[in-house]
Amino acid sequence: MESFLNLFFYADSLPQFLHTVGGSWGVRMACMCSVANFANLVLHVIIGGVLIGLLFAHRELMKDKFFLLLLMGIGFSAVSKFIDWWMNMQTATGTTVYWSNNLDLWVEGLQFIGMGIILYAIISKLFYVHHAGISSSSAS
Amino acid sequence: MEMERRDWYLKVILLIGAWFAAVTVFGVWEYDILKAEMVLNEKLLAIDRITETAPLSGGVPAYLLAMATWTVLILALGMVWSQLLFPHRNLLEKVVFSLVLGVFAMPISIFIPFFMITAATVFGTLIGIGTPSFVVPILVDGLVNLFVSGLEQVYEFTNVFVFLALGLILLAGKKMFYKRARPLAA
Repeated sequence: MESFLNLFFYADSLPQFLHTVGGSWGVRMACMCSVANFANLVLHVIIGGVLIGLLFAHRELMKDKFFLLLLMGIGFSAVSKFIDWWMNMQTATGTTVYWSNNLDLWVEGLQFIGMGIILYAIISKLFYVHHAGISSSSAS
Repeated sequence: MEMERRDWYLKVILLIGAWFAAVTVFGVWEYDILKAEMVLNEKLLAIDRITETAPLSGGVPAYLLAMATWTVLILALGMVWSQLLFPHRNLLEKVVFSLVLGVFAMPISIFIPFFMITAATVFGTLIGIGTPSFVVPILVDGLVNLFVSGLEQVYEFTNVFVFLALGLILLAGKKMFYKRARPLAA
């Protein structure tokens, strides 16, 4: 296992120009998770935008709890990602490491609430059973 | 033909989603590593790693410019791979895929050992054998040393470019050798 995992630590064997380019380009962001958070935030905006567009174009979909829950979950998650990214920016544009346990708890809390709502929406949709054909007399 | 309409769009996105979910669930100690990395590299925040003289902090515009640069690179990467895997999908779907792939491609070489260490430690503890022997060497000589040496970003930069180059080579190969992939009407 150790030999296998060592394959992933190839930085020492990279040519020098990659070190130079990678180091000089990426370091301006203090932490590469800021790029990941930014891409993630854009993704949330796109998906949220598509959902809002869909709901406006087909008003009848608003009756379906699924879409509203999905939108709510994406909203929570997007706020979480924004706070995370904002924290990255505070570090990257400042001269000291910015870290707030309080804000980090908000990031994680909002993320898990968002994930929970999305999962609830998907799972309840997947396992929804139509009872329309069963009357109370025939069910008993 | 029917075969041409098939693609792996949802499968690939779900696979990456499942991977991230697993890392999120297992990677509780991510914060310790992240905090350690930021504290160890604190000097790098204000000082150029290469020359160790020039201040790098360029304020919000420079930061946003770096974001935009990386996003364009990620979009280029995703366009190449989506052209390879599902050329018939529309632009919006390709953009969504690009962002997912970009987020995945950047930390892949770090997250594989990261995930293996966490999973091995969790299961080793659960079944009572404790932390496996490979964990400490990989953790200390590999991951922590990577952060201490400030090589994390070199890694991620390289990953994106390797993914991009590989995608371009495969795409060129597909165009050259797999002529049947073209629409019949063309």
